[in-house]
Amino acid sequence: MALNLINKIKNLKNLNPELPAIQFAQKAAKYLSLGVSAAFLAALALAIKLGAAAVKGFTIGATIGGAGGAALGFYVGLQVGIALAPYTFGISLIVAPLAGAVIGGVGGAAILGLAGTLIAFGIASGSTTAVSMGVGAGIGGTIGAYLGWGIGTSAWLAVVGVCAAATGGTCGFLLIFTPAAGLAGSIVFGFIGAGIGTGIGYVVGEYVIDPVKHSISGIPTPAGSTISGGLAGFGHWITGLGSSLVNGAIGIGGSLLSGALDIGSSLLGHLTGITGALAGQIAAVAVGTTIASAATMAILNAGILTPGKFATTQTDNSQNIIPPPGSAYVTVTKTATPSTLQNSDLPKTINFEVVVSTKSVKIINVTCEDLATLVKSDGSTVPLTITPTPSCPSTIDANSEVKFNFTTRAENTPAFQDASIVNVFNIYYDIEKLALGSCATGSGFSNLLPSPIPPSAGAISPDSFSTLDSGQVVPSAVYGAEKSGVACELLVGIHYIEATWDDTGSFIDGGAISRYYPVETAAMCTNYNGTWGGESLGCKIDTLQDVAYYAGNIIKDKMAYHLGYGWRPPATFQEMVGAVSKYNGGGNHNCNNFVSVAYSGPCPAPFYGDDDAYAMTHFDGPHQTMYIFYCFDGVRCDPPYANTRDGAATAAKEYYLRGAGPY
Amino acid sequence: MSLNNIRNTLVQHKVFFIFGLVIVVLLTIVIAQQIIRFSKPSYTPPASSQQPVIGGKLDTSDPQVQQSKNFLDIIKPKLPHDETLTTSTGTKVSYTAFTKTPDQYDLYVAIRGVDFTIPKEDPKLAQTVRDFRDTADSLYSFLASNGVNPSAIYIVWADNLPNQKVAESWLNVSGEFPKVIKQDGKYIFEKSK
Repeated sequence: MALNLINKIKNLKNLNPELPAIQFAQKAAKYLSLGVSAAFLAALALAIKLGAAAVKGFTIGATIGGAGGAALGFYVGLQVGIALAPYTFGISLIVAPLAGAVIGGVGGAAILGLAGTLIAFGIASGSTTAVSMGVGAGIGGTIGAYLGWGIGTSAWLAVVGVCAAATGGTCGFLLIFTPAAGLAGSIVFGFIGAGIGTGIGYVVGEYVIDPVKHSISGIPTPAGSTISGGLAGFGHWITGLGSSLVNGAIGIGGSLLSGALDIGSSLLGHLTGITGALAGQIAAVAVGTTIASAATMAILNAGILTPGKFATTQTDNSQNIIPPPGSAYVTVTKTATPSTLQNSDLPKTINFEVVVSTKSVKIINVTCEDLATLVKSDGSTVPLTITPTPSCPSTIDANSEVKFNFTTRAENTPAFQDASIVNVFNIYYDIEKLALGSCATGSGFSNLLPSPIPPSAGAISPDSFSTLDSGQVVPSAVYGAEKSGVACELLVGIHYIEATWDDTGSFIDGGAISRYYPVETAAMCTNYNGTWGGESLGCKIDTLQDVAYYAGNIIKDKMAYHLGYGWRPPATFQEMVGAVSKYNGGGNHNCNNFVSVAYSGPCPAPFYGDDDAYAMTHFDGPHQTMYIFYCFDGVRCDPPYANTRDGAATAAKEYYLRGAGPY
Repeated sequence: MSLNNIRNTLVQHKVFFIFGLVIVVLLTIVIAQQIIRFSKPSYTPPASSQQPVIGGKLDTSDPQVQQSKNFLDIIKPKLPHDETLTTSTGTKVSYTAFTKTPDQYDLYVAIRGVDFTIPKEDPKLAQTVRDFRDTADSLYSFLASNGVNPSAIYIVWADNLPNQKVAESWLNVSGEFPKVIKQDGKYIFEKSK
């Protein structure tokens, strides 16, 4: 249909002398359309090449520029269309506005799309220079388009004027196209302006902003830094600014606090002394078979506000707890309501809520106590009554929560004026040892074994089941499995070969449990309830169950870093054996090691780890005799010796079969 | 001058006009592209082995830590991300970028084809360092193209602390590990001037 319209306009030139000018306008519009389309596609290609963020920026910029350009183009086209209507039988009323909208829209989209592309890319990548170039393109393009309108119309009027003078006014008809010339000027100079603006933006970003930001932040500029220096540096600049603001805030807060502490310091001293004494009691009571957790709630009634008022500050309990051994099995939290009191508020009932949460093991022989003490303003102490007395259930299941609510009373007597209330909640318990084979239930370990399960050949790990039964290896493996997703039988099998199920030995290497491990980051260390000792020490992990969790994650590391399966637990027998082999370092493979041995299994190994003594010794007949090549990390055994112990996969299988029943 | 002559003249000029316009636009874009290409970003991620701690635990209120978490939240939907590349030394390296639940603050990268345990006296050290830097650049491009500033997130390059420290020492050009250049067919560290 559009082509028909155009053809009709073309045919009109034979009917009217002015129509060659219309034909020229058509061609000009066509070329202009081609030009802006090419520019649009080029800007889009650049955005695609620079990535998703740049494409988003392009879309935003192109939408804005396109809408603006289309509106302007439509308006211009309408003016031309109206003027041409008598010569085109009204067809120009449709064609000209549409053509104007398309040309203006695509042109505007190309210019602001380019600007949006560079700005978004710069923001995404942190590049000040790219952002600066984008801003330059946008500003330059806009200014260029604005000036271009004036230039286009003026130039056109001059041309028509000269023509009219030369022809005695014949070309006055061309004045109809003056708005179109303005639009063309806008587009052309818009592009020129965008180009100049981009260049200026580059210079500004690279040679003005970059040196300024470095001088502000004090960060040295890397040699050869260009846009990239800008990228990194801009982030630093912002960070530096943020830090300054934060520091400023801290400075103000610190001043206020120091004033308060001057007044309340003696009371804080009392609190610390009492808390320390109570923590000592807990530790003394906890000696023996019980393991205790404690939470301390301190309510300070210190005259830190206007003298004569009862100002109360609640101190968070976590700062005052000395975690007793085994507290990783139980979490205790406590809140007090109200948390602040004025002397004028007395008398008042203070409500406490304690929540005890167990983790992956059931606790038994549970007893609780709560101690509330009034610390008077002169430092003397008086026990307070708690109602009702917390009554713990004798057992709390794994992954359960128990709440206690009790109250104490702050009376309107001189003893409570400007005083402190210290509240300590203690819980004592034992850990229930898990039943044999219990970690096999629903663990999915059966999926990690071949089917049918082959009988072991010369397995000796069952001889150590009594050690396993008396220790904490299984509950720790349950915890590790729950946290990491790695089958608990596999963790039990690993512990066998590392520490022969002696629960004083670590899952990692059989050494002491509580020590520093080479965990990668403080964030991960926190997940192991560990203490970060800095990059030179790593993460101090204290409990066997947290080490089991760490060991499970190492198995997943082996899957991702060494086997290329992704960071996940093994899902097949082959994956499990491969990960276990890598867990040990992978040096004890019996096929083609540094010296030949009388290994009866298949060579070359049918899958990674199948010939590794650490994983597979005694697993079945072919793996009955396997050799150890490395006595310690990096230390070769010369000559290699026959492994008398079960491999990790074998021990895991034996433990699983013991729980699942005889085969 | 007849109307036809005027028309021809203008049409001629318009052709040049349009042609000039296209050239200007294309030149602008090509120049911008070249500037970006030759200005290869050199990001500096914060050292994940030196994260801020309070009382032995990660300080989750630290602005740097929070910034890392915020950017990780952006990239998480695109993870795990697998990529294989041939480095500038011709080595084939593959890597997987992923997160470790429940760690919300670190981006982990499992690189296969770069040995962080290579001895310092090994003649292949320089090539290995260059392979690692190329791999890091590839990861940075992936992050930047998805709206993540690589200089703002903690990136863990290895599966244990000693190797992570080695990776961090290799990452940027330094006195200990200068720029790697090719000389007589071998990759060596450029001598400091």
